[in-house]
Amino acid sequence: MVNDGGGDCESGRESSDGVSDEFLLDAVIGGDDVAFRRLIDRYDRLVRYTIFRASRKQCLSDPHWLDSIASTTWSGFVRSIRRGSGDRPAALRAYLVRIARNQVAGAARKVARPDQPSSPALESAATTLDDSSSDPQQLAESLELVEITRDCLLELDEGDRSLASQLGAITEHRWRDAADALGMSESTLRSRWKRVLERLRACVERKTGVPVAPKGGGGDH
Amino acid sequence: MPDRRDQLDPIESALHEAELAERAGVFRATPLDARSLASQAGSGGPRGRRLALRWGAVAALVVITVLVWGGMFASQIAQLRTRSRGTTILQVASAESISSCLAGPAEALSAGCRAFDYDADGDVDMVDVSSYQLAYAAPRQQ
Repeated sequence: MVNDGGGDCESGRESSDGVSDEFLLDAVIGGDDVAFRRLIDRYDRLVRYTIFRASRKQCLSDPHWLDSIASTTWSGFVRSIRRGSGDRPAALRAYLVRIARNQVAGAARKVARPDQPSSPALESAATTLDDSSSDPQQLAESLELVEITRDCLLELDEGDRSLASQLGAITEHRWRDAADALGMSESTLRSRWKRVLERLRACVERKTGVPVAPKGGGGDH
Repeated sequence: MPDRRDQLDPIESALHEAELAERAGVFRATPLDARSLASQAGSGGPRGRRLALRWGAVAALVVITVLVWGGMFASQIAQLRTRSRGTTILQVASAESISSCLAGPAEALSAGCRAFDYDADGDVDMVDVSSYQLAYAAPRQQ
């Protein structure tokens, strides 16, 4: 889904300002804080999303978890490029994703079992890393979809946006129960919900250029 | 929504993900001091190393200069002390000797006093004492 510009363009943001990751990284190693800020602006959301995907429960239960892990990720990044001297990471996006996941794993181990010796089983239980979140390309694509969905939500009219905010109530219950909870008939709810999804789908397809096929229609649940 | 995850429309899944991500704070910016972190990055890189080498070279030069000049200064002091000490000793020894040799004009030289007959007239008199005083007014290195 990501419209990769090729070369060292790993995300759409580089193409908009025309500055490559390599250039920014060289500047950062030279101590340029403006370049570092641009790098952060470019990848901070991906770092945060990676942490979220790797540790949903902690992110949703502890309001400081995400900020804390993201901060240590960036600090770890700085330390690693200092150590690396002339060696530049080949793919900065993948590098940051790896650092973020390592930070999550380390933090989760400390939280779960601070005083017990580690073992593979314990570590597996303590670290709630989602394996599917390790591919930087997939993460970037998922994040892009989430961001675009969020943007498209804002483009809906107030009524549709209000209904979309009832996502949990609609999808976690049967149509009849959801309609009762929302104070409308089942048929009204089904048709309105279908319209919301269609509008969002059209918007997402327009922004990404990739069709998003519906799944299973609006069957009974 | 654990039971219906595989039944959701992709847009519904994306909506759900966006909602959770929003709640978790994914769309906030990480609070960072970019300048401080960037300076840490810079101090370890090539530019930082060049700076370190440059200042290290300057420091080494200063140390070497201090050592060299300090050594020369110490050597000068030592020489001055030796010279002055030697001169003092020589002066004392010479003063005692010339006084014992002083016999007056036309008196024969005593044994060991020939060195004080500065005008070589065969005696050690006040003329010779005057010559001795002139010789040791500006001490010479032995």
